[in-house]
Amino acid sequence: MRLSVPILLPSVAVLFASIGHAIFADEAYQTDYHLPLLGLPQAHTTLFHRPSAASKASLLYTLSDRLVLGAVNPKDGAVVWRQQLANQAENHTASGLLKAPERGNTLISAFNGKIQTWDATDGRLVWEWQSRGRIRSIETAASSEDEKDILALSHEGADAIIRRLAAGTGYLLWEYVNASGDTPYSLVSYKDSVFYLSLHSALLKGFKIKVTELDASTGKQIGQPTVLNSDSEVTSEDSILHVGANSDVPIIIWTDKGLKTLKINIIGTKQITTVNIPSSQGDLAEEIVVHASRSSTALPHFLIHYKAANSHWGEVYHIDAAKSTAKKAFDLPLLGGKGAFSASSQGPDVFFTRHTAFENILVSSAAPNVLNSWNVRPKSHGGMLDPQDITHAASEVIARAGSTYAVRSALALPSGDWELIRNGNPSWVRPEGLAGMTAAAFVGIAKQEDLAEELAAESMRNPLAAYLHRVTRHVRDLQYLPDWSGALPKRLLGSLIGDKASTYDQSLRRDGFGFHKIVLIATDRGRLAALDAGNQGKVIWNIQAVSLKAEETWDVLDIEVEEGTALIRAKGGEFLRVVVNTGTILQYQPGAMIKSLKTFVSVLDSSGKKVLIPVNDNGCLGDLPKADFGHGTIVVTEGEDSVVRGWGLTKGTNPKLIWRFMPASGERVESVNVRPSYDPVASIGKALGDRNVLYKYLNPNLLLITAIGVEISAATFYILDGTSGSVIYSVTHPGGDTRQPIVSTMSENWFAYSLYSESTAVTQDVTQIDGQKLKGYQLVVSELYESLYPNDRGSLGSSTNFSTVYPTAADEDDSLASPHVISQTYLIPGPISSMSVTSTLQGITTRSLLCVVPDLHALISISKAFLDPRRPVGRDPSASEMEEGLFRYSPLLGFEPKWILSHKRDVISISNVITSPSLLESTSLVFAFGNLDLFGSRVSPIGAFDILGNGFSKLQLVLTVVALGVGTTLVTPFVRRKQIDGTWKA
Amino acid sequence: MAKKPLSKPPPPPQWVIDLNSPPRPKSKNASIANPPGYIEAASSGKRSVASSKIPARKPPTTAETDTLKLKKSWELAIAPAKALPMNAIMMYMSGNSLQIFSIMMVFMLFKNPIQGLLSTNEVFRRFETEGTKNQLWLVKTCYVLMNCVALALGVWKVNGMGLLPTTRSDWLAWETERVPLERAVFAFR
Repeated sequence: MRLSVPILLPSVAVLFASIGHAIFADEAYQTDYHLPLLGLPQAHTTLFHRPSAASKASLLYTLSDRLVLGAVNPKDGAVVWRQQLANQAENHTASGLLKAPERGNTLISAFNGKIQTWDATDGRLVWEWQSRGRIRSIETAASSEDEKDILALSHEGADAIIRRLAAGTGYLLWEYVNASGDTPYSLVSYKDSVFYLSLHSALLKGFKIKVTELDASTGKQIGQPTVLNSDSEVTSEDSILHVGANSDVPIIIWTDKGLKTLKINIIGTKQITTVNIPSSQGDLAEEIVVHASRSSTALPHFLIHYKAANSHWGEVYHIDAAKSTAKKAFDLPLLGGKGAFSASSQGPDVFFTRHTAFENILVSSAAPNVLNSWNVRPKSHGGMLDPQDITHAASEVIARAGSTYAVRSALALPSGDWELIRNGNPSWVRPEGLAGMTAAAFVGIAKQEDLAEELAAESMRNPLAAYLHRVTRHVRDLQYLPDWSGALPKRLLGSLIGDKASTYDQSLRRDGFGFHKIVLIATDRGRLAALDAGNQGKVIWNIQAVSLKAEETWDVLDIEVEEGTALIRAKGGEFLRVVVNTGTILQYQPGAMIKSLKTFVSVLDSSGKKVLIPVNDNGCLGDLPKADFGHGTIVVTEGEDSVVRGWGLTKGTNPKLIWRFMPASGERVESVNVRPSYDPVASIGKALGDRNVLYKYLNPNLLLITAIGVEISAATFYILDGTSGSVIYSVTHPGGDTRQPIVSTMSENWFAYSLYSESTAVTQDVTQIDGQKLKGYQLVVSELYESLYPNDRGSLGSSTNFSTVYPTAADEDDSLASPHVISQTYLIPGPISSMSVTSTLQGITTRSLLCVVPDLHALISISKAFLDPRRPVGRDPSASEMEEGLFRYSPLLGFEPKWILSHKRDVISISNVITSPSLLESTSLVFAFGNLDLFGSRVSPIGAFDILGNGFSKLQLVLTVVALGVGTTLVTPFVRRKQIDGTWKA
Repeated sequence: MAKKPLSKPPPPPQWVIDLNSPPRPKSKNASIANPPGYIEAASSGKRSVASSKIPARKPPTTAETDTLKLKKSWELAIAPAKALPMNAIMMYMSGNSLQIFSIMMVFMLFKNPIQGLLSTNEVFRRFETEGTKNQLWLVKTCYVLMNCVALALGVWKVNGMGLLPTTRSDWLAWETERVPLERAVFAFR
């Protein structure tokens, strides 16, 4: 608009300065929250360890089930460093291995074929080594004192290969190939020899344990292999319970399939100690775990932990190295519930700590008497009545003078919480069970006292009754007065001094700005949790919504928010209804009741009632319930056969197939996007600099289909009308890499996508160098308009409605009324793995594109103002274009550090971003989640124009007003006297 | 009471004398000639001379005064047009930006013609006589036209500033989105 030139020109400058900032420095760590998760700690890879020989305090290290190696500060539970061993896209079935050499300053991890050593203090990679096969075992060579070389056993084809790698560099020192065809199992290093344990399959069934001795310095085989057991005992690798690697005496313990006897052998000898497994008080052991100290200087004592269905007990054994036998020393009595033992050592002393839901018991390995015990209930139990079992524990015991002991234990609980207990006091809890989020949704907090309802009740009654009702209501309200008035001085002071932290409303209530919302999340482990987005993402509740078997995952498709409840839909038609505030499950229907059912979709019928319509895996609809859907309701489904179908709902039970979309041959449908369900449009046209209008093509039924041709390495994007199935627009990007992430999003009248392909962004003369086309990561933004010409609403003219199924006579010639599409392509520095759009209450605020950049470990917010496809190419903008805020197009779009919404936080493995409007038009709530981390923030795409910033000093304002008031009062008598004197003198 | 007979009134104070005998106008020195073109006739003197002359002039006839009045009214009617070039230059110079000065000027540009239009009859009332009545309507029309021209200048200026809702974008807020007759329900997730 012309009138606004002078206003706009300076404001554009201000605008670009402000939209450049995703977040202000004083808001960082205040409005955003981040849970850096590790995943569930694994029993054999969780340990307390000193990061270097010189350090006094130890860190808590774990390699989790999600293959994240992390160090946690045992004092406060903060993550010191994290490293992902595997890409989340990589299919990982095997678990990782972790070794922490004593008095060393590195950690050694192995996963699949890769061995990596990490600096234990800061988590930097020292070296890595890739083998061709899977690493089965890693061990540190016992010989050298300061730097311990690494021994690795890998399974490459039929061969088992043992290698010795130099400690500091990872250079190969020697290699031993065993081509006997046995299954390699483990390595044990003892003094100057290395024992290679393999499983030799027996004639009939089962395995024999074969021990081969190698010279640790040369890798030459010493003597003939020895075979340890008879055929029927070891039926699988699981039968071997323990291979004592680093204790002073190397031992191997195995059992038979029925858990009847236990056999203990000191590796290198042929003698086998056989122990009958006791059934303590009639409880049969179901699982046996061996706990031994990792230290080579500790006494050769170990603990056998028997787990029964509802009880557990233990036995402590001592090894007599001279006689090569193991002898039971004492029992640890049976206790109810599932408990956990952990072993730790200090010098030669070995301590066993026993953890149950109610107490911690510390015993020495030497004698059965209890050294100390604490009654402790883990904090994470919270208000739960029933005690939780403890899955496994790691502990550190420090003996002090006067036989007092300091014990720290990290307990892993079935809920996924990881909790540290120090001397019987719960210290911190990490909600590791929240890792692996598959779906999330924002839920508004319901009003607690419904004032509108009360007022409606009053208006219905006669005046006297209404008056009484009101009086009683006000009297009832008085009960909140003391609290309110008590909190008032603090609130006032807080808002004056600018202490934002104290003004945060801790309770779960609506706030005036709409920042207080609940985020409901579902994980692949069947857990459901609610976080308070207005209160630093605090966990409100966290429940096991469905019980899953070990390898199963919970595939939540969608969370639908209703009044006060949420409907969680999972694969196979499974659904669950929970109360949002409390987590109470109201209704549960297990899945797989009907074969090939995928999910239900809720459709409003003509009377406004919600009807659930079944959708099958193959993209067909199931039988329709009896309902009248009115005219023209089309359900769009995506089948497993890469076909998108549109089904018309009619009165009968059979849906009618209206259209089918199949991509070109050789292509498959990668993803289908639609406009967000809440996508308000403030203006239906775009006012140009000359005050004409380009009308936006607004169609709520649009579909954006991404199709990938794997063999031709091309990606095609189709825009479809969801009701008629007609293709409105399509574009193909050839010569791409379809394994790189291809993501897209759509909102209002525009869509954006990102991919790796041949570049069309740079001008023609530089697209080819030596006949090679330039390729790169690209971000393409396209806008749809009703017509190419301004002030033109296309063939439909001024009609107020349209139908794509039954086009009117007016557009017979041009039956599709196809929109005019303007696109612009930008080259971006890295891949974008997820894309979504901010959402505000009225849709007036310019939208912002939220992109997850996995290379940066960050979430960035790119304002749509930067990505306007009408930016002038190859010339400076004219005056009227400048008024629109358009500036010269440049093909390179760097991710400016100012755009990073997650600022200094290291956000890894996020794959989805959801947004929700707040009550402030300027601000949108953002929540990012994925395989590991969760991150929440607020984003103001064009600056927070409707709220005072933290920099605004209310104190200064109040002081100025007060000072002015005081000054005026003081000066008034003087002024009045002067005025009177003046009158007299005149 | 014994009265002392007043022998002689005291001499009047100096100021009474000064008051009674104001300084005489300086007599011109006859020896100094007046500068060329200067006619020695003080205002008072001239007035006295004129007043002494007027009775000699015969009073104008009604026809004469009517002609005079008509002439005068024409002058008034043309007056707004005379200000036009100045206003136009001012408006051109002030630019199309929305600032306090240009807004005030535009306000004045509208206020004057509108005031003039509203008080058309008052302006010409004093020229209205039996004789001029028939010819005055032409004058008034001219006056109204001239004011309209001034208003047109204002409108031109306002249009230049972009304040007139003449383009499509000004009415965009009243236009509505087209409603699709069919609806699609998506069942992807």
